[in-house]
Amino acid sequence: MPVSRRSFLAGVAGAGALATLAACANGGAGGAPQTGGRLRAAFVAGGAQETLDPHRLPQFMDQARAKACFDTLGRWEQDMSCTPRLAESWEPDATGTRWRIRLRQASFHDGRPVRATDVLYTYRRIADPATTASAAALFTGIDFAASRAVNDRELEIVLGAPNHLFPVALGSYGSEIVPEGTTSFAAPVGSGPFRFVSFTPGGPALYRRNDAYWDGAPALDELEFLPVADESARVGALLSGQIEYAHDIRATSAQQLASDSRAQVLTAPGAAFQFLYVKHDRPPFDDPRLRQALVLGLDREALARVALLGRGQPGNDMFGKGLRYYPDAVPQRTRDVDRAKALVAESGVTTVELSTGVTDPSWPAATQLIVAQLAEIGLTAQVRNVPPETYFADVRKNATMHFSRTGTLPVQNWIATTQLSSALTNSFSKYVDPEIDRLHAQALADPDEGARAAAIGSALTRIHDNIASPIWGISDWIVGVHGDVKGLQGFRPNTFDWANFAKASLG
Amino acid sequence: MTARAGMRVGLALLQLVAVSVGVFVLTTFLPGDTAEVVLGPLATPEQIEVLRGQLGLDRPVWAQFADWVGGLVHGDLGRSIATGRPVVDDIGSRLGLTVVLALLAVVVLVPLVVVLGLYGGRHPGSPADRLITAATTVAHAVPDFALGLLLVALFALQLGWLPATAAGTVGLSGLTAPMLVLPVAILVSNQLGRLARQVRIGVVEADAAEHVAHLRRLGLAERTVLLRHVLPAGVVPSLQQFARTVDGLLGGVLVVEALFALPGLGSGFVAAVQTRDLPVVQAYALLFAATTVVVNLVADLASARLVPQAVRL
Amino acid sequence: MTTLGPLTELAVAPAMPRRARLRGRTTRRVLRVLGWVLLAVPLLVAVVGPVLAPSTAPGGVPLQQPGPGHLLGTDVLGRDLLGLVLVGGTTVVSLTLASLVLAYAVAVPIGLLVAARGRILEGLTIGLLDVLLALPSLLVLMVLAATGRNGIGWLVLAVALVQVPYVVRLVRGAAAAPSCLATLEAMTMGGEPWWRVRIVETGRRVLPPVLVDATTRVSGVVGLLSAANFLGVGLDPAVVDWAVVVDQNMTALFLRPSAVLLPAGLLVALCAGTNLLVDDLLERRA
Repeated sequence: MPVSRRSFLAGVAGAGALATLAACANGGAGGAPQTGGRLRAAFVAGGAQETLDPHRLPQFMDQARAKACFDTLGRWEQDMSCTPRLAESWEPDATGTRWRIRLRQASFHDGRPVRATDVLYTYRRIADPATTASAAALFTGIDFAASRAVNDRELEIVLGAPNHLFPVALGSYGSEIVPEGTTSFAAPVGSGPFRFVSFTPGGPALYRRNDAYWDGAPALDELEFLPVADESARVGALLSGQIEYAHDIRATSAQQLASDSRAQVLTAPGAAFQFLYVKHDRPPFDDPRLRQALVLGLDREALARVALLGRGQPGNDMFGKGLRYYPDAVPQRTRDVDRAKALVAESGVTTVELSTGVTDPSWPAATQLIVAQLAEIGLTAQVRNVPPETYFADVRKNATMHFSRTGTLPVQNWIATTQLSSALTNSFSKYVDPEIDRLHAQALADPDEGARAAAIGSALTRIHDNIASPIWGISDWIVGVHGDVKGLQGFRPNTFDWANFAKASLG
Repeated sequence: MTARAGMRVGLALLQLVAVSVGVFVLTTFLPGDTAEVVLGPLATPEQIEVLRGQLGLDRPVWAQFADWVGGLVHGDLGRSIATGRPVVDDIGSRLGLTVVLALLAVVVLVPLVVVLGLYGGRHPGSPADRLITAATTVAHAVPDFALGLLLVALFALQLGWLPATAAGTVGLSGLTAPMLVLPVAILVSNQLGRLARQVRIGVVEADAAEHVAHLRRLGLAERTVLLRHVLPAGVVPSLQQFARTVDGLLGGVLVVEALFALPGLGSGFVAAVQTRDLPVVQAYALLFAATTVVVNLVADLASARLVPQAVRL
Repeated sequence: MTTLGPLTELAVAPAMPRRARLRGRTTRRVLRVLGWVLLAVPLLVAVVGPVLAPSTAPGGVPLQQPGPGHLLGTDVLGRDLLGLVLVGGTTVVSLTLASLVLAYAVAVPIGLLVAARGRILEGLTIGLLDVLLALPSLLVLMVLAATGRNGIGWLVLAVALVQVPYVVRLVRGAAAAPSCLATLEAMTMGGEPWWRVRIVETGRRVLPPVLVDATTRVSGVVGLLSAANFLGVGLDPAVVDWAVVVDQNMTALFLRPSAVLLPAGLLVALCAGTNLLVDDLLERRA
């Protein structure tokens, strides 16, 4: 794989974090990983309604557990390209509608081999609307009547329309392969690095090493997932040695952990995109002058410095910085108070509503800053607080301007699920642009990678120019781990390596 | 007295009905529903609609409430909308933890309150009395979460004597005594000041009462006067406060549960409200209401026992 | 009837040796001064602070060390800590006062009336209040927050409402206490009208426990206000208030302790000072 300028830059951006890591991971280098022991990982969890269904993953913890027990055919890399994993290879026909996938030799925890029919069963289940699967949108394009198992380890998937980016679906979270016929996940059987041992909904989940794992048995004997909702409780548990992995840590705690020899801080730079959506289909932001004023009125440097506490970077109103197909050439939007003020005056609007919440720890701070920044361009923002549990459904319906965030996703998937006119009900901005539909379809249909990159780049540029998804910042993703833990790094959430403990060890 | 106690129980049942309806009315004000919460932020509106149908949420809320009430009449607390499991399963494991935590706090509190209150009330104005008052007052004034984080920082992270959280426990299983030391300490320090002050005032008043002076003049042993007459009368005014404390402890102690990852009734109730899981919310509310009613009833009965002429039922 | 009952140091003084009494007086004086200081500092800050305070606009460099631009440094939102401390007292002091005044203005008359008039009224009122008491206050707060009613008015109302049932019960209990009943019975037999005996005189007699209760409630109310913030259902985060500042900076407790400890200390001083002084006052009145 050639090293592009982009991934090289991403490497540089990550160097700061790696330096911190090296400073506190004393004696981390060299030596074979120690085997054995139990690693306890704490996440925010969903409560009593949790299941171990790997196709319904509302929380990060659900993804992490699915990853331990199951395998996906592909893996999402840090730039969201997809490479083969449980699949040995995949290749399309010339039209990009017929995909031939060859599987590795692997077996489920009960000894049965992983076969092509298991894969077909899995994808059919995900595409079934009744499953309400997290990755449903990626698999609905499959023509299941025409798709078939060629033999036990080879299958042919037929798509309703050409899609040269189809393999990206194979690495998605929520596309984990389950044995054919599985309907209950009370005691899940997968082909992943860890076998299921026990689980209490809303409580701990325990897994044991799968010695027969096709990619080599994990170093850990056991892996336990613990729900700890409160962030300071996760940090406390980590420092007192009650857990070895604390997911999703605040910037302030990261600074505290960095100065403590008992812990290491793992940082994935540029991992969560922070939006300030406005609705295009209703006043006041149906006025393009007001949208323009908004993005010119934001002081993104101040937002990154204060709301993200320096653990992040300013956004440029396009999703996907650092990821494949992102158009780096589009210049960064900067603040222009005078022009913004003039545009606000022209529009005649003086008061806007701003919906916010506590879903992301940076939002309360960002809210205060943005209210102050808007005041400087002549807009009074009335803040509406929305409770976290129904935040996204609420703001999608009711808000005219609101915060939102998205973890790392393949850029084309993000476009498909939020920007296409077919995804209007799911859209936060209600922005419709036939040209984006066309560019997206073109990107999928074109077998040439360069043309594809150009098409997706143009779509993002249009999104930027038309202010369809203002992004004020991109935050780092921070995880705290015990000082002895090895084999983990700062990875972007949703990627294959993130929250993956197959290569982790306790020393 | 028996008839009146019977009336009290009848009233209590009426109260439970009123609370249940009140809670139902309150929950109808909450935006969103279980389907939205269960599917999480990534769900599309279409998926939410599908799940809504699967969970039976497309029926009017009052019809769901009527179903629940119908089940209740037959002694069935219902099933959680989100999990499909019986509500008692969810509450059961949390109830144990909350009861243990409350019991421990009370067991530590009562002797402390009585000793401190009695001493302070007998020696009002002495240096020890004033220091006790000052110390408990300050302890009460420190917010729970601040005290919690400071205690964790000191005893768990710095000294390493106690675990920082109870992460990984489910109800009582996996719970060890050291995990409860800091939570109980916070609960006690929060309640001690208020209770001890009330007992102290009560004791001062009772100690100076005419009939107590009379008993002393009659030559009754000081010990008897104190334990038989001063203490009971001195404790009565603080019984309401004590009832409130016990009720609060049994209703779940949310901040402490959050700080120490303790799966008690408080966090369970909040989770149920956040999931918009009507049967579970209702069951919790009934449980809390019943606790409140019972605890207050006991406090009233105890007041009547201790100073019979003072309290009408 | 002018005396306030036998809540006196003299009444118990003979039980104490002279030396202890002297020492007691010294401690009392020390604690009185301490109480005044503890109460005066936050009150003074709350009243005068806003006039002197530098700007608390967010956007500076967060968690700065104390320096020339920011005498106490900055908090996690990059606001001047000195400014926050000086401005943040006004809301908490007025909110606490407003909630308490509202709660007692409603609850004390109800409590007295209930204690004075027949059993049916008493049973009904207490029953009704118990329902209020049994409604999980958490649910009330969460509904208020979820429906966007987290303005200052709603918070005062909710906090006051939570106190009412308890105060009514306390007043009723105190009015029925034996030391109270005996004298009142004598007055009733002396031919005084019921309202004079039951409302005015009883009101005076329940004053000490009510006052004590009110002061202990100061810390309870302040605690409730800050806990509400901890649960995300409290004041708007844009309001500068000690409790809110503590909550916002809690996550940086170990990085910039002063951003938590200063406002928290002022809150504690406020509560502790009130309690110490009321104790002292009660003794002096006696």
